[in-house]
Amino acid sequence: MPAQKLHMLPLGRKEEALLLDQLQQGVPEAFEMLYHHFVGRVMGLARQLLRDPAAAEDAAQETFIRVYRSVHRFRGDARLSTWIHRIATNVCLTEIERRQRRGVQVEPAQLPDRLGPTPSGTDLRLSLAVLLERLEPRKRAAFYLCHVEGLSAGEVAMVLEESRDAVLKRLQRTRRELLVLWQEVTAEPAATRRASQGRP
Amino acid sequence: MNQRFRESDHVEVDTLFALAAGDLPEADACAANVHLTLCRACRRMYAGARELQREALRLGDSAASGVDDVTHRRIWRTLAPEAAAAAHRVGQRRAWSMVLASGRLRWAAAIVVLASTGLLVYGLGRGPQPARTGAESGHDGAEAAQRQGRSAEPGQALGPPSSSRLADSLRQTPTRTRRGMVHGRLGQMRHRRAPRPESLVAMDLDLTVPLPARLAPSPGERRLRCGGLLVARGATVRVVRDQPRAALIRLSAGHVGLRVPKLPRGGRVEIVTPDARVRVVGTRFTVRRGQKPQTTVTVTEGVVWVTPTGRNRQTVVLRAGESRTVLGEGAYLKQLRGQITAALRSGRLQEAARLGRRYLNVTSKPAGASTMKLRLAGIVARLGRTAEAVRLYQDVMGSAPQAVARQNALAFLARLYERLGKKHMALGIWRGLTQKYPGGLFAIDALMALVRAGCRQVGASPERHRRHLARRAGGHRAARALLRRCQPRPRRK
Repeated sequence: MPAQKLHMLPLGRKEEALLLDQLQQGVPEAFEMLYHHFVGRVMGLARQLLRDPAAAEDAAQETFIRVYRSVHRFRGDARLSTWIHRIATNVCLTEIERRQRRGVQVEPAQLPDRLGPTPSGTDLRLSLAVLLERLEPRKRAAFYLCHVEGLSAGEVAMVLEESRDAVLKRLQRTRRELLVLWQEVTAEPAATRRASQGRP
Repeated sequence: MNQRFRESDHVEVDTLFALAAGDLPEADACAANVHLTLCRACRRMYAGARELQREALRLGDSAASGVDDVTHRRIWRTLAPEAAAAAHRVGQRRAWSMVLASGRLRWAAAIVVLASTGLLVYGLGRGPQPARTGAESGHDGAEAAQRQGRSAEPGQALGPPSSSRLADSLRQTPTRTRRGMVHGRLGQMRHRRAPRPESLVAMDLDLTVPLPARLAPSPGERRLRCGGLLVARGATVRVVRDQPRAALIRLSAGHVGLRVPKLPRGGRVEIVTPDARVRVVGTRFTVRRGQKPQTTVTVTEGVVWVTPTGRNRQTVVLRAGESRTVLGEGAYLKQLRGQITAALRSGRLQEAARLGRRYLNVTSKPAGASTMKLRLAGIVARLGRTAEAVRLYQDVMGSAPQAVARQNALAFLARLYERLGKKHMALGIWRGLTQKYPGGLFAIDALMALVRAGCRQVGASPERHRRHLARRAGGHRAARALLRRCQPRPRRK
């Protein structure tokens, strides 16, 4: 039998509550399950924020260590996933600040050239990833959490420890900025688009 | 919402994103759509927002699955001791809190302390004793043997299994004092631990755990009543029916293996995944479903029938040594949509039409079917088969669950009639559209068509429609001009 499949499906609210209950009872397997359920999302967030796979791996480890050490103090005011995102974001933002203090420079991502008339899904995805890298870290985090992870504005505010209005404003600015960049990258002639949609 | 339109001629970026995500209330969405119909700049922005939204979702999927299992395991190897220590700490804390919370246990603890003190005094009086060995205490020896993975020696009393780590640690802690050994029977003191609620965690995988079956995480096996053996590895699996001649197993994710002996006549074992139904009567095979919406079936012995989900899809018969990956209905339809787009881009209209018909055969969702009918109608219209296109548009008008699709069908049909030179029919449809959907997607188009054709009466109550359109048009200059033009003239006396 092949090795255990590690990627798991996302948990619902009820299942998160159940998992939290098990964690707070000290069931060892629950700790492992927590890791398997959230490692993908934590790594995704860390990679997007830190732009460095090795650093992202370290950040993920640090996140889970912090989660394990303080899970008994978690009161369940927010969702477990929100709390883990908050820890992961804090770890990543702290790491970014530490790097900035030390003067470590990450090579700025190259803005992709204009895509052809039929860009593949991978091209588009890569373009979005590169465009996200050009944003400042908190904006990137806000956009990633809201649009990629699907958190609500209130949850993003909890994660970033800001007010909801501040997050909404930040998201608005980010979207505008991204949209302008996106249009530069993916400009496609209208005729091609209409033809591909098969409309009269 | 209207305030937003009055302030500026264009729709705000946030509104565009909300519209793309489908989060906008219907009235606001309608207003935004009318503005988009008129404003090319906003339409471009909206297309960008929609693409960004879509790519962001895909980015999330690829971020979650982009980290390979090797990395996962490497991180877990580092984290495992930390997790174990954390679990131990939390367990201890909880056990102590339970001890303190329970009045009865508090009394028991007091008695134990008193007894220990008594024994200590007794021990001091008798002098040092030789250290106790594992063999002398059958209970502890058996447990130590259990911990080391061996079975207890014959003759050794096998005590009840330990229920908490706290009790274990207390037993392991040497209670020797400076002056002698205290045999306080701490080993027999059992800290009660709260029962695991609907235990979702069990490395021995109780597959019958009913509630959070998707959380069952671990390897394990289960003997079915029909004599089959189900082996799961990291699978989210649930045995729905387990009878002597039939079994139904639902696999949501992961990898399971099944060995089924030859069943009696009428016997059947089925594994259902979101993508396929796998049916056997006696064989050995594995079924795997990962993150992607597809199921892989590998047959080791016998014959297996695999039926993908969706209507009119062919059942695949797999024999020993064969393996097949089948896409679920959603994934298959998505693949078809991609193929249609590719065919259209390269100008292969016939193939696109064939694929469109295939899509309609397979899909079981009315909303998806009506969208595809609209698309297919456009394709066949370009191929010159107008009768078929008209039939498809009429189908959508009659049966589509979404109002948007019905409006699209009406508008496309009207445009088709205009292209064919049947102006009066087109005009009738535009008029119907104005009456039925006065604030809809194509309200302005319909109004423009009617004005162009010289109609002065745009509907049953033109004044109300005009006011409505003027409000929805968001102050667009061209729309206002059109609305002014189609105002009814005062009757002459």
